[in-house]
Amino acid sequence: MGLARSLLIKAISLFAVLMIVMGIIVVILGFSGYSDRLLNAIVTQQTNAFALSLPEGTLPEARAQMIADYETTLTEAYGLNVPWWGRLPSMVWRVLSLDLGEARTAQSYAGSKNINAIILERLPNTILLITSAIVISVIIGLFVGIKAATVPGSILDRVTSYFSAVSYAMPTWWIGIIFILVLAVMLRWFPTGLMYSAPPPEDPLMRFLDVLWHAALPIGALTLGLSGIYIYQTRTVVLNTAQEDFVSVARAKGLPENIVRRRYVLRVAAPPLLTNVILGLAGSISGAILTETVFRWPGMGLLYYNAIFTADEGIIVGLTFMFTLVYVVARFVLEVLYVALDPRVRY
Amino acid sequence: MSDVSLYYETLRGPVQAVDSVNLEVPKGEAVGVVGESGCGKTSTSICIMRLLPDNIHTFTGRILFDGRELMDMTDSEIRSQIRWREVSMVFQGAMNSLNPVIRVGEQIVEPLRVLDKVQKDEARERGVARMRQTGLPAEAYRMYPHELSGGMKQRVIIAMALIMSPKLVILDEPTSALDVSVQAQIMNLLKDLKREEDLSMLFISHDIALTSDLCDRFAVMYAGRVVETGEAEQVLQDPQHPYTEKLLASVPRLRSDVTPEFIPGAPPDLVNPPPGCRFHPRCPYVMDICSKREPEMFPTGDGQYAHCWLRGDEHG
Repeated sequence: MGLARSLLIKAISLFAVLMIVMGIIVVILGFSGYSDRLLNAIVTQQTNAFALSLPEGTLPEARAQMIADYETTLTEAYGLNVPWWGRLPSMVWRVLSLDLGEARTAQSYAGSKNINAIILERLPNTILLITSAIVISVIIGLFVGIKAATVPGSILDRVTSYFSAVSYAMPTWWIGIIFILVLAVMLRWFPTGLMYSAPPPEDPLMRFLDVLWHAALPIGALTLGLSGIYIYQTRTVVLNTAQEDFVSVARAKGLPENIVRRRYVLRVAAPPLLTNVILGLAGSISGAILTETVFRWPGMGLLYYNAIFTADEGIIVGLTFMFTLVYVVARFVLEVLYVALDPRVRY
Repeated sequence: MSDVSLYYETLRGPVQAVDSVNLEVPKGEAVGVVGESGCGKTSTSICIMRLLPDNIHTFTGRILFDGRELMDMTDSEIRSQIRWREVSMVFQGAMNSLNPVIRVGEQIVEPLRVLDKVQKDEARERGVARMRQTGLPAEAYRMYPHELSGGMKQRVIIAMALIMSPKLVILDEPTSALDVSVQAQIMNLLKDLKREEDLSMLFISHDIALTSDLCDRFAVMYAGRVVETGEAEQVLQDPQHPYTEKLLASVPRLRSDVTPEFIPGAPPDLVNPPPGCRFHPRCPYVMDICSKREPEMFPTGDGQYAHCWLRGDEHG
């Protein structure tokens, strides 16, 4: 009973986080006048297009009247006749009901301006790139981190510690640029960017291999930049747990070393490690903006980057909402997993 | 155990944590090891179970347990034949001795299940029996450590130490983290267990009053060495080593005007201990020979020995 209640409270507070984030974005865009300018630009653009589309020979007065009417209709449709905060409730409501609206400039491959369609099209690309890079980094991190923590001070431990520090310090987009320079431009082993060759191969298998070939450099750069962080986090958590008194007690009990490691070290270290993994995976959905941009990879990160530069308000709001939603869901999943893994978290 | 030495490797050089220690725990008796912090009490006890850290410089001597030489056994023999089966231990810092994510009952019977492959139901029966013996309700079997009070946790740990019916239990400051009334309950429990189970105990403490309550014999340690041993009564009434004398004088007494004395100076640096008797820089009766030659354990009568030149000369 207490469990269901505490999870419910968690769910409500996470939903509040989502609302607050939405509120902040919309308020910033509205308060700074960004939203008004954007909408005015759209109205002007569409009115001009309408004026051009009017048949030749219309009387100038009638023509001016029709254009003015059209402009008023548009202004009302976009809610420009009320101040920005007047548009706020309907906007938040639309986004919450997952109707993200139309993009201004971005398009899906089929030419649709529907933001849902655009995001759904980009999401798999990001998952393919960033999520697989994170999964690889996490696997390397857990494996090497645990190994290094087994014999602290060993050669492996020292080498991985140096590697982690270097990996931590190098930004992934910078690694990406170096990769492009050396492996793509100088050695010509890999393409410099994009997702497919032009034209893409027809055969599905060849097409898949073509994508992998294009993904190799960005995944490599991300893995190099991220695995160090996971190695170090894993090593620290496992090492701290291994120094707990109950681990010595387990050894004194005559338990074999593999049971001591499994039940007394890794089992106890699991919740914090899991936090890193889940939050990393949730973060991966938002894409790595700079890495995707460097490699011109058509994922969420590049979409975000372009939306900011083309002032595509709908996309910015929609993507930010999506990222927050994924994060909030991940947090909730974590809460549930924690209850399963750590008996102390049963409130 | 005789002539056991354990030196730790440090950046400054080897630390002589345990130096030529001789100690005997007779069957069914409790021996109290007392001394200041850092004098090697805990290090002595981990030698017996060979729970050594990685930074070992030297580990020599002989440890005879029930007719078997432990120093000749391999690590895996120690693990499978000695630890918990023959010698179990209640650790210092009881609050952290239990795994927070495993039910206490499972932790109690874990050695039975893993080492002896006892079936789950039988293990539970034996676990609950041990829990009853240590004054725990059977319901506690399914609880997690964080659901128990400090005193209950300590009872769990004692039940855990008894689960394999070992011959010797090492108690390393088993009550120092508990408040006084709980401490008294645990001490009474230990006394009962010693009587019922005919257990041998090695009781490590800096609290002389507690130790005298439980133990038949005393071993006083100073700077990695045993400086005095003997029957508890003898050592308390008639200490033969100046350090024991000073240690007893430093204990506050109820309803007495005697001001507790402190021992001037600090324990020596064990990387570079003083030559001869290690206590001589702090000793009120220091003589010429003390800083030149190390004394032997001189008998002072009735099984009492003191590591001091006041109690013997070069000829014994």
